[in-house]
This record gives sequence, structure tokens and C-alpha cells, in this order.
Amino acid sequence: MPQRKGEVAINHRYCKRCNICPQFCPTNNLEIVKGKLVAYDRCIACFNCERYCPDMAIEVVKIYNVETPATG
Amino acid sequence: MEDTTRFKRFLKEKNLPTPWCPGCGNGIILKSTCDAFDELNLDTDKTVVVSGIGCSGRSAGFFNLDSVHTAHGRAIPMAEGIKIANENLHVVVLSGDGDLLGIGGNHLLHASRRNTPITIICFSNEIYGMTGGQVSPTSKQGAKTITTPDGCKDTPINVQALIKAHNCFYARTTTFHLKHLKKCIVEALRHPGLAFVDVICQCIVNNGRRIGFKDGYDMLMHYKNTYKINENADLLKEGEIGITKVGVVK
Ligand SMILES: Cc1ncc(C[n+]2csc(CCOP(=O)(O)OP(=O)(O)O)c2C)c(N)n1
Ligand code: SF4
Ligand code: SF4
Ligand code: SF4
Ligand SMILES: [Mg+2]
Repeated sequence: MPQRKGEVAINHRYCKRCNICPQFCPTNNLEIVKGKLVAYDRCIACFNCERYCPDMAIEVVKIYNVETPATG
Repeated sequence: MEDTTRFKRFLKEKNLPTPWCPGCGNGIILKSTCDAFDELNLDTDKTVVVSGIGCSGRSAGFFNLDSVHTAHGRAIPMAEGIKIANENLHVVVLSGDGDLLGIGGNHLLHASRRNTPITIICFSNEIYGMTGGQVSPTSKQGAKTITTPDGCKDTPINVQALIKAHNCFYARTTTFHLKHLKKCIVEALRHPGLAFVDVICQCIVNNGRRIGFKDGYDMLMHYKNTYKINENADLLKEGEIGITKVGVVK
């Protein structure tokens, strides 16, 4: 089964660390750590962060599929 | 991959970031307005933006087109003047509830009576944000603000009734309902007469936090749970958002 994956780019000059996007992210891919927004590798390119960021500070820059091993 | 950032051509990126507080809803309205401009492919040489004074009043300065940041309450007469001088322009007002309905309320009354073909996007955060959180004409009864510590006693202005009494376009939306927000602005821009878009938006720092909201996200969730879309309504009830039918006087 191909699984949709994504990658986000954070513009730290624009990001105000408002904590809106981490709470909209369905995969807990975003977190504010020591006053800085960080992204992990769990993005599924749902665009929630990009759409709700009031500061245009985060964008989905890559969408791709990965093959997950068949189970069972 | 679909380009979701085309709206940026309407922004002066060198002026970003905005001065708005972390989590403020104003940025969402700014972005959605540009998105609506992009959907209609508005000509940047034929579009003018006007703002009054307030946090929301800072909006005009971020557009990559001719814009005016005018005196408090005077965004509407400024916009009407521009429209009279050149009727081929799209003239769009972006300003606050205090600016448009408080000090500038009389202008709205008469511009709607004249049905001047301008688009007005009202940042309805139910507060005077910029000056520190004083009660505004849209504050609900019981609202605690720095000037109404025991709760606001007055009835909030019924802007829907005012606009609709003059047969103008009225839509209400929120910063949570992004698709709807964009649609309201697009339809308002398409309307041939005066169009008013009432955008319920979060002022987290000088309103939300004082009345118990944790952050901007918390306020967006409140809008999600409170407001239901009612398309095709003659008149929106409390807790409803939508684009009302033009020409239904109540
Ligand atoms: C003539 C005049 N009176 C008062 C003020 C002070 N003042 C600045 S912004 C503002 C209220 C703005 O409220 P609103 O339009 O709701 O904007 P917000 O900051 O909430 O976006 C006031 C009263 C002013 N700048 N000019
Ligand atoms: S696109 Fe969706 S999954 Fe990816 S980081 Fe943003 S909110 Fe999370
Ligand atoms: S929503 Fe935008 S400003 Fe807020 S933390 Fe995320 S990227 Fe930063
Ligand atoms: S005071 Fe309120 S309206 Fe003004 S920028 Fe801050 S959160 Fe936004
Ligand atoms: Mg206000």
C-alpha cells in the first residue's frame, strides 16, 4: 500500500510560535521545543498547518508516496 | 504539486512578518483576502485597499497594490471617494469592528444607503484590540473587557439588520471556516453593490486570554463548535454563518 508523505518548510523569521499548527497537525509532526518550532518526519501533507498559520510561516514543500511493507 | 501560495503575489513580502500578536486571527483574514483576489485574478493595477486605525487597520500596508491607511473611522468615505474618482477600480476596505461600526458607524449607515459598490471586510474581534481591550460595538452582553469589568450591559450592534435594511450584501463567517471565509470574500467582490463581510476573528491577547481562552487555537475551536453554516438564509440567526440572500428586507 503506498502511503502519502510530506515535508514542511518553516520560515523561522515569520514564525511567532503561536502553537496553532502543532495542535492542528493530525500526526503530531510539529512541536515547539525550547522556543522554536520543529518538524519531525511524520508529515502526511494534509496542509492543516499551512492553511491555519496566521503568519505564512509554514508550507508543505514536498509530497511523495512510500511503499509500506505488506502485512499478514 | 498544486501551488497553494499563489496568493502571495498580492503581498509585500518584504513588510512581513506582520506586527500582530502570536495567534491573532488578523493574518488569516489577510491571507484569505489575497486568496480571494487570486481566485478572481484581480488586476493589481485596478484594485485598491483601504484601512482605518486599529490592529486590523494595519492590513493595508501588506498589500502589493495601491493602498491607503487612513484616519480612524474614515476608511469607508475614503473608499467611496476613490470609487467616485475611478469607478473601474475594485475598492476593498479591511478594518476593525471599532473602526467601522464605532467611530465610523455613521459612514457605514450612509454608504449602505447609497449602495456604493465597495467591498468591506470587517475584522469582528468584539474588542478594541490595539488600545488594550476596551469594549466595542460588537461586544456581547455580559462580555468582560477592561472598560466593562462587570460585563457589558449594552446590546451589540445588529450590523446584519443595518446592511440588509438597505438591500446590500451581508455575509458572516469566521477565521476557523477557511473555505467559507474565502467564498464569502469572493462573492462579496463579485457583488455589484456594497458588500459587507463580517469576519468573526480572534484577538487572543487583549480579549481571548482575559475571558478564559488558552491560545489562538482554543478560540478557533470555539468558533468551530459555535458556528454552523446556513447557506441561502434570508437572515442569519445567532450561531449561524453564511451568505444571506440580497434584497430581503426584514
Ligand atoms: C480619532 C481617534 N480616536 C481614538 C483613537 C484610538 N484608537 C486607536 S485604535 C482604536 C480602536 C480600534 O478598534 P478596532 O477597529 O476594533 O481594531 P482592532 O485593534 O480591534 O483590530 C482606537 C479607539 C485614534 N487612533 N483616533
Ligand atoms: S501538512 Fe499536516 S501532517 Fe504535515 S506537518 Fe502540516 S499539519 Fe502536520
Ligand atoms: S501556526 Fe505559524 S506562527 Fe504559529 S507556530 Fe505554526 S508556523 Fe509558527
Ligand atoms: S491586540 Fe489582539 S487584535 Fe491586536 S494584534 Fe494582538 S491579538 Fe491581534
Ligand atoms: Mg476590534
